[in-house]
Amino acid sequence: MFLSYLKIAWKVLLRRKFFTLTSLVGISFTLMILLVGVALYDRAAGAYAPEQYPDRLLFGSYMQLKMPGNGEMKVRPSYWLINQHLRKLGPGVQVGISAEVQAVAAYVGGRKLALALKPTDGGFWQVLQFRFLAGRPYSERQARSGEAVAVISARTARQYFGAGQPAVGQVLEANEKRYRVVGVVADVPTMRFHAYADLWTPYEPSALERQPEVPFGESELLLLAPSTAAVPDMRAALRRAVAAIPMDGDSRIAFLPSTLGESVADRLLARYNWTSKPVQLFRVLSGGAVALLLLLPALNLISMNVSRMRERASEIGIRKAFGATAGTLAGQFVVETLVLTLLGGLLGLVLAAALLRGLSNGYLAAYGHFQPSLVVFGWALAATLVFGLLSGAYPAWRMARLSAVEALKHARA
Amino acid sequence: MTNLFASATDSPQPAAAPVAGPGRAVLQLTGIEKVYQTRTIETVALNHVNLTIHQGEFVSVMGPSGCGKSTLLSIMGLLDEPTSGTLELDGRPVQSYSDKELARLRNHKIGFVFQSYHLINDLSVLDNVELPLLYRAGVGGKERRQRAYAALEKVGLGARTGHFPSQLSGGQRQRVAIARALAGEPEIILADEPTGNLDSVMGEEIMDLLLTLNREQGTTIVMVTHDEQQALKTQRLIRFFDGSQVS
Amino acid sequence: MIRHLLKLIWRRKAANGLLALELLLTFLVLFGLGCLVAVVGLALRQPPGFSYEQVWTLRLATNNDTLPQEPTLLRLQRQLGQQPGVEVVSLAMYSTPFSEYIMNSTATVAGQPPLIVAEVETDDQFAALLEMPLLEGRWFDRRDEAAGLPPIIINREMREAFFGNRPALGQRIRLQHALNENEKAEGRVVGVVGSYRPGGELGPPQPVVFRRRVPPADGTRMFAYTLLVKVKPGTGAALEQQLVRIVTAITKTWTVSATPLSDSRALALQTSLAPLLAVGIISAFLLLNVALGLFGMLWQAISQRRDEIGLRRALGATATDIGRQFVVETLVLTTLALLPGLFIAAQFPLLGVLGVSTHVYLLGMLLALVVLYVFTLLCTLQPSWLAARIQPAVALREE
Ligand SMILES: Nc1ncnc2c1ncn2[C@@H]1O[C@H](COP(=O)(O)OP(=O)(O)OP(=O)(O)O)[C@@H](O)[C@H]1O
Ligand SMILES: [Mg+2]
Repeated sequence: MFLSYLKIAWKVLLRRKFFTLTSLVGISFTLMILLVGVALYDRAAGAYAPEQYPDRLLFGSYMQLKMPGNGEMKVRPSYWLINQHLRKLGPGVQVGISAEVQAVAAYVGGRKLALALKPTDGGFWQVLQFRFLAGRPYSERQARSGEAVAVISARTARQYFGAGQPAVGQVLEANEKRYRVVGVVADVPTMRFHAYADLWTPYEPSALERQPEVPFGESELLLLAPSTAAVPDMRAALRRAVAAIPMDGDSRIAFLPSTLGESVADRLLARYNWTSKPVQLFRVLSGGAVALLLLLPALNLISMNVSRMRERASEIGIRKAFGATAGTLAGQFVVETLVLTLLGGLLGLVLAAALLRGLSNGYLAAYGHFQPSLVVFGWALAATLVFGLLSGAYPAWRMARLSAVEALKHARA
Repeated sequence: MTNLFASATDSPQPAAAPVAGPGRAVLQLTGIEKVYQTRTIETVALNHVNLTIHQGEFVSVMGPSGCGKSTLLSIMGLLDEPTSGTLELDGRPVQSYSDKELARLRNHKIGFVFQSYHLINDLSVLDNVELPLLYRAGVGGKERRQRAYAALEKVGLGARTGHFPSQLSGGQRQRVAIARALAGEPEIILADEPTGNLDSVMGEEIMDLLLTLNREQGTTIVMVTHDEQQALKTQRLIRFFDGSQVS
Repeated sequence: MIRHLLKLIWRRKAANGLLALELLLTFLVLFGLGCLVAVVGLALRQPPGFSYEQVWTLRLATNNDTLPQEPTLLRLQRQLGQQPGVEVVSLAMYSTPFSEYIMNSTATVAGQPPLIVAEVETDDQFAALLEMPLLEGRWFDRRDEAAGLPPIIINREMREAFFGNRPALGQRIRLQHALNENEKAEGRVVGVVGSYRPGGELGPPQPVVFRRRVPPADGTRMFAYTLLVKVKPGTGAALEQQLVRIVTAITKTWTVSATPLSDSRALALQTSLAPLLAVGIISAFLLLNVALGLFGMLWQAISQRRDEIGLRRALGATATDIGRQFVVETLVLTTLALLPGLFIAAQFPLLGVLGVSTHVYLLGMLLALVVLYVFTLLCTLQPSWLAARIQPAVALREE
């Protein structure tokens, strides 16, 4: 029975070429765009090293500073503030501090090598799981004393010391300062902005950030909970610790810790002064985009199915007049939709894989390797199936309700 | 086929119709042939037809089903081109008209009543009847509605102007189709079995309507019919068989 | 004729309604895209008010240096200026081209409401180095050292906001730091420059005020300084290394990062164009779907309405009439779909939600309208041509 449905469906799809083409293009492009979009987002916020456990991580990049009479301000904490007041946040919680990357220059044989340098403390290496290719991170003691040591990325090692040359133990000179390389880590894509750098070093001992009683600077707090379940406790502990910071006058500060995903949204939109709540805006925008991307092809499917039914009204009338039940007719419709959706879905997956491969090798090479996520594919396919069935179900329902006489009359006045 | 008028005199003249005498030739068909080529067979729908329709004439065409009556009408109505032969309208060969001029002629000169009505389902009865006037420059919306309404009154459907074709019976649809042909006040009406779906009383009324039109406004009418009685009321009867005129 | 077509559209509202909804949604997205394009386009039409070629920014972080900074700075400027390959050096605080460090002040002029302005504190070389056009008066020079009231230079936007057509030169302006009430200054306008926009071509036009930097009292320490260095064409990494070396040698503990202004500009452009690209991709996808929907509807309509087309031809419509009917039908449908869209779009300028000028919204609407109409027109041409070619006799015979 099902097989004969399938055979008829196949024939119908071949005969109605335009309908088939439109549906296939609509479904496959929708899936492709969704898959590519999610792959990009996943590269920025998914569970990859160094952020191996995104659901145990929290980032405190901004604080809300309320000063009576002066309103609110968004400021970044200083190394000193975090180091002094926020080190102890409960058992098993790892605390790290890092600053925004700075552009520094190294010069190799008369050529400039632009490097991104990220000052960090020692805890940074515990919170984030970098993949070390050689050597190891510097210790908290080394970081505290501001020793001139550095961890560098594989690319930096290659460009500065030459391919295949040992880097650990060597000296790298950047911005006229000589760093002893203690470790080499796998490259981090720029999208992973919490971790990304070419060169990681301890904070300079003289850095303004480290001076006592300087609460604001350019740093961020990185937290790793011992387990996902411990994250709420960690948040609460952070809130208590922040509340305990003595402030002058009536000023008040509050930390706004965000998850990895939220911080990505924040980062994407923070450059544009559109809103003070970038995370919400990001959710609305991406939700709207996904809804539109799903809705339009669905509308096309529905309208085509509706007019297809109008067109076939007389055929349906005749079939009914000669004894076909509504069930058999609707069943045929559903099988057609299923076949179409699955075909479109496969096509979309292939397109997405091809596009991502092209992007990884070309335009987005610096951002790491991209792959369509099979989980997302599954969900998107399920969504299109639901849409397809809904779009087919309404006309099928109308068709089933249509009496033979009505259908015949409708067909030609 | 030399004396067309002679063949018409075979049929008795209806008393009601005054003999207007043959006016100038409106439609002149010479050696018209229509061949339909399909994959399996070749159908000769019209086989070398010579025919002249004079101004003010009321001609009826009879013949068995499939003998080419509808084909003849659509060629006379400038809808279809003959495979060979010439058709002259008002003394000028139709081939010499451009597509645009043909459309204008169809709109102004000719009114068509189709065998299968051909009403637009999505338009109301009134809108359907207005259709020919819609393609005529210089006819305002108000005048269009008035004339369409008047035509519907004539066929007895003044009360159904807001209906849609699917809400009408077969005979009512037929009458709407006739009203549509009347609305444009054409010089020639080509009617393909206009009374085919009507009961005899209604058929009589429509026939009277056409006769009056022919008599009072001098409209030239060519009508296909299967009804001998009706055919006898017209000035001339042409019989067809297998694509050829037999009388 | 339009009424006639409206009736037809209304009767086929099931299919038309869905398509109209698609058109409406697409219009709204295109409106967003149009607004973004309008913002960028309007900004790009105006020069940024400075030239970025061959200029490097040296950002100096003093790292809590305890020595007096002023002598170090003087030495540094002199040394850098003497380098072969360096043309001019200028010291500036805040709001330099493409800088993230913007200082906002509240400016007041007698009899005018206060205005938030960006403030640049700089020296006599700044304007020449950046090739800024001078519209009135002059740039800072040595004469200003003896001036009673400190000299102030304003940009065109500020001049328009404060003085309109009235003379600006010689007027007094009071400045107060936007956050710190204790930092106050007063000055007299000595010059007006073009519309200097620190954000570059894509930065918003904004009022800017320039103050002449006076060496602060001894012991005043700053966190950072910005030096702009104009170099000769053809100099590259070697000179950059040399400059960094000089800074390190003279300052000992300061850290420095050198960035060519052209790099900062490329980054700023990228930032501004990214949302355009994202919305553009989505719009393209939506338009593709609209095209599929339109083609689908028209082709289906034409195959379903063959006898209607034949009939119309029989009743005197020309082929052109038929083609036009389909085109006009689609355009009418598009218009119907756009009316609520325009209504929604009009709420933005009316409510002023995003603080963008009405100009931008109008341009955005216009762009969206043009794109959508042209697009639907293009999609209609082929099906309409198909419809126009239908032979009446053939079409009327088909059941
Ligand atoms: N498009 C076509 N292709 C092939 N054959 C055709 C076509 N149109 C008409 N014919 C053939 O031409 C012949 C004449 O058809 P026509 O419709 O003129 O008959 P008719 O005299 O009007 O018949 P009826 O009284 O049943 O309406 C028929 O045999 C028909 O099969
Ligand atoms: Mg016939």
